[in-house]
Amino acid sequence: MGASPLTSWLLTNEFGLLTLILAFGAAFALGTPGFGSAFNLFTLGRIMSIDIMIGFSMMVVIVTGGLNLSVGAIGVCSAMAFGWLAERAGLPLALAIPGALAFGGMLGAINGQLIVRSGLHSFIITLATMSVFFGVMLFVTRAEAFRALPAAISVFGKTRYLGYLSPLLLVSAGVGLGLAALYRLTPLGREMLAAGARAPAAELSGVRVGRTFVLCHMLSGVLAGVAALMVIARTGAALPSMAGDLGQDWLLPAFLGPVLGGAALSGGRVSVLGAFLGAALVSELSNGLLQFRVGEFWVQTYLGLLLLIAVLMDLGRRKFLARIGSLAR
Amino acid sequence: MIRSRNALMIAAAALALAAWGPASHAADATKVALVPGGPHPYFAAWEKAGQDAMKDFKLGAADYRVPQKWELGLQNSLLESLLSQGYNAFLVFPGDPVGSNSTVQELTENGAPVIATAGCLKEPSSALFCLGTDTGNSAYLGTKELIKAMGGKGRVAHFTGFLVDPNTQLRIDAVEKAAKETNGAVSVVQVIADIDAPGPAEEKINAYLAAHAGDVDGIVTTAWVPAVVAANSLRKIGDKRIKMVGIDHDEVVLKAIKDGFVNGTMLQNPYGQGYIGSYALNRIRSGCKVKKDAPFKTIALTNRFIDSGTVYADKDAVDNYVGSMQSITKQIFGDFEKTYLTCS
Amino acid sequence: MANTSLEARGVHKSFPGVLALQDVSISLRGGAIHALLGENGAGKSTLIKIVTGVYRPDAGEMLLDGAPVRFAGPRDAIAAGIGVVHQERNLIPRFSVGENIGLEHLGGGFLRAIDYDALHAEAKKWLEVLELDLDPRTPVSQLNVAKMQLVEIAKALSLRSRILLLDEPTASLTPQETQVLFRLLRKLRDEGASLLFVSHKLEEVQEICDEVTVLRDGRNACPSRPMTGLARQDLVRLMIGRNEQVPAWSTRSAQGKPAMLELKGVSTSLGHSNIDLKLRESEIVGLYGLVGAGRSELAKCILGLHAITSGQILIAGEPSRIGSVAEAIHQHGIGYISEDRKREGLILDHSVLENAGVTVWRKLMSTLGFLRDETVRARVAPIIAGLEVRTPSLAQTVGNLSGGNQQKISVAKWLAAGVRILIVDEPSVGIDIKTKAYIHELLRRLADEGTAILLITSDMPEIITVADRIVVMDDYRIKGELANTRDYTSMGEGIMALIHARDAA
Repeated sequence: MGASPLTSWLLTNEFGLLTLILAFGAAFALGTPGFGSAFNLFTLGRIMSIDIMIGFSMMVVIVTGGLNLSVGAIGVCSAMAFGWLAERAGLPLALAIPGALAFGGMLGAINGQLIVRSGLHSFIITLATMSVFFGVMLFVTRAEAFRALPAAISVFGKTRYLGYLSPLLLVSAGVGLGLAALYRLTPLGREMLAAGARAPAAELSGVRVGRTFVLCHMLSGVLAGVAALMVIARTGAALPSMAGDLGQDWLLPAFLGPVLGGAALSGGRVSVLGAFLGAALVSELSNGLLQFRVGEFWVQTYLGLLLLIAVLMDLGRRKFLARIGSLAR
Repeated sequence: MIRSRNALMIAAAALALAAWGPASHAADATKVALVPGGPHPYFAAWEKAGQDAMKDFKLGAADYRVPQKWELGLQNSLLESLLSQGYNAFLVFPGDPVGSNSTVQELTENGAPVIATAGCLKEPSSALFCLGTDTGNSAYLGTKELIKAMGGKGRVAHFTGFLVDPNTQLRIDAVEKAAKETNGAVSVVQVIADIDAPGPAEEKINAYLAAHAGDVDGIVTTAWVPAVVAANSLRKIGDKRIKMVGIDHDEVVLKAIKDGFVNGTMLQNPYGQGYIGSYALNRIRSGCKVKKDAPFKTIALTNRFIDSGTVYADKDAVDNYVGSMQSITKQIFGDFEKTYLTCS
Repeated sequence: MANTSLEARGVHKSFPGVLALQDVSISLRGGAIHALLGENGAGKSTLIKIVTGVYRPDAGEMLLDGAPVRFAGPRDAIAAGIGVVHQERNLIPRFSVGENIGLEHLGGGFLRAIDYDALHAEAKKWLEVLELDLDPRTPVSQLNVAKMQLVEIAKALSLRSRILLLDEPTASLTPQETQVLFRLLRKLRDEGASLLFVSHKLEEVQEICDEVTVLRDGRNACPSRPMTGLARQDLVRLMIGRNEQVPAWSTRSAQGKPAMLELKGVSTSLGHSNIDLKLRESEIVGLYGLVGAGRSELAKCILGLHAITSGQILIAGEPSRIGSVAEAIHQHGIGYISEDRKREGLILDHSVLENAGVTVWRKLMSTLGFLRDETVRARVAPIIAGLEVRTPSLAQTVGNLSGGNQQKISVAKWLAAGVRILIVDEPSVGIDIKTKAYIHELLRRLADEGTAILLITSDMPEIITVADRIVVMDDYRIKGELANTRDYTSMGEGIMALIHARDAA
């Protein structure tokens, strides 16, 4: 309570993540020559930006105290919608991109409506819609990829600022700023947090909880769409297999970022910066592990171990600082 | 205390910054990375091929590196990471014929030549060329062998690989073509695809044979796992009436050939791909160019295709299948440079 | 008394901010049924939890058969032969009836297999004692509430307790089931057991109990004494008689003021039928009833959470259909302070600023749709200060504040919203006496300034202190209405008479 602003900032999760990112960055850079190379920093930033966006897509639903298992499926569906709009319908990017995002938003809104109307937990609903969305997508596209997309989008994915900065990372940062503004500066964002923290209390305070939850899921769909477009920018094609079977490959990054970033799974509390840094840390660790050539099949094990160590170190840091803080008082 | 921690952090950040900046690639030695699309027994021969090539051609490295699973994103990350680690030449099985182009282009732009190996990239692509089995031809020849074994007539079932693999459609078409040439004496009664993984292969092939063993006279398989599963299945039902031609060199298939449950197999040449590919990359890095007018074959995806060879092995040839592979490799290797490269 | 089985002497117990029991004594006798009476919040449940070892008293002693005892936990009390049937269900739904009854004495060791046949045979025996025709293998989740209550009683019986405490055991039983239970209780009494019976139903208490202890405001209103010579009126007076706390407020009348909220023959999907209620400007109407009478439910129907099936709601004279709470608040100016502060009233994990400002976010946002903390703070801070909320800052998490301060925050958000009609549900549950008095004054002041207030409470002194008019509700119906004379005795009796009017009939 009496802590100075500096101490309380040092105690935050975000500061902990930042410390870990820098510490591991330094360790990797010293340990392997490749890690610090401009090309590696560029590709790391690009992978990172996609994982961050996937994390955001889950985070905006974690706010409600629920989750969205269909992020990957919605992402793939948006990607295929983009492919259809840009390749088959021949729309310019200025129309195809908003169109694909709107499609993702629509699928998210379907999730939200089903959850609010049925009163069932989002786990069950999105588990079901994950299969439905993906299945319908396979049926409609016959699992055929869109491979003749406008060159501009893959040029965007390859662009390098200053030799090491991917514009995709700027997109993620921009979206992050937007989300932070939403939660801090708009009544809608505040209502999302209030409804997520305690729906009955929010309802009785005049928040339209149902509508708010639908909007959260819609936003999740749009962000999944953004992540999907970023994947397209990287590969230059819209592939039905881009997120694995049923889009499951997205689930791990979807949860890791927000949870490491300090979002409460029970809802109502969220850190946009934390989710950003959390995803960045995970990407950095997997990239560093590949550089260290630990053997591709060991990466998962080491990644898990490093995450555990990271979290424990963070716990130690907070206890240490709390002790200093109490001594100072 | 807090101040000293800050100082530490600044030092750490400074160190990180110091390492920032392009890592210097050792320009002299060729370091080849052989990267399949994911774990699959087909590629196991690449490891040995790399080692042999490293010894024979004095390469800096020729390492076999496998993505954890069949996922384009993972393969791309691995390739990018390998480039940062100093590998400067790549043999890549493209995880996606289009989706891999963008990464391959990045590798090339960073001075690392790439050969699409065992599978091709869709043109336009910045890969030097595609080195792989002419899958259509292999399937066609295999089916001809099967038809011969069936006495020129009967009903054929075809078990093949992933639908997302562009080779699969080529194989289906080739089997169909071989059957058509019999003017109706042979018909393809069933095609089961998307089963190049143990689970679905077991399920679908066993179910099919249990219900329809009497309706087919021959089986042709054009992917690794279906070949293994079908060979096992025939052994289990003890059926030597049904003729079968498999693919590749899995122990199960080879043993089934010896025991008479399978008639023969179409050997592909992954060893040769890895060996010749590593050699070619090294030559390119030492100044050679790919001939514009080289006698490339044209297939659906690309017009710069080099066949890594295929050979039919029956009961008599099974024991020496490695020898067969090496002899095709030698054959292709012998005049590879003369045929495809111009070296100043 | 000669054969005292269990006695508590001079027990004190306080919780943060609340003195729950002060110098309370009770003495149970073998072969007698003892009634424990008192209003909600008088301290009955706390006393039972102390006697059964759930809480430890801050001061005072307990004697078992004349010898001092200390219970470290409920298991000690069970071992000493004290059984209890709690008000809230303590059964495990997925387990069978037999497993639940035998739960406390399952098998011999951790790893020895449970002998289910013996278990079920034992359970069957106790079910038969209760004349309950039930297979012990039935899962509890398949039973209705009354059956569960009886299983709970069978479970207590199976422990062969010499002392059996029953906290509102008849609340969900039909008259027939109640009679079966009473026959059993009398039989146990005749065998020499001590029974403690807690109930709101005075008729039952008079029918079955031999002795009585009354608690009021956490103190003994009377020491343990025989029931003989006490009429129903006397019990009521003992329970509610605390005239000294009523502030000397003038009796007000809002006659002639315009009606702000009026219900005409309203029935709801929750089971209310034919509700008539009128709330005028500057008027405080007290809605009295026992727990479960349907008062909070009525409030939620007015707010638009549940459907009105017939009848009409008029707001400031205009017939209105309220579709959602948001509409009720923002278009009609109706606010609701929930009785369930922790679940429905406040977002405990969020800050004071967020909680107090939630009702005005939309009103305060700029034309571009943005809203800064400073804007909210400017609106909320004076109100928080005016309510003398003790908080280190507006950024403090509400969950860290005391109950009284939390309640002030839930009032603050409606003051910020500036509502015309305020429904206040059990405003003084779990808050200390000083804040309670403060809240009462605040409600008076708001009414003086024109707000129409509907005060839902089961606290009789509170309703007599604060309300201008008292409406009595029972079983989702309005039972009658009284003008508040602020005479404690007559009002209390009048209210009780209205509640029990139908029961007797």
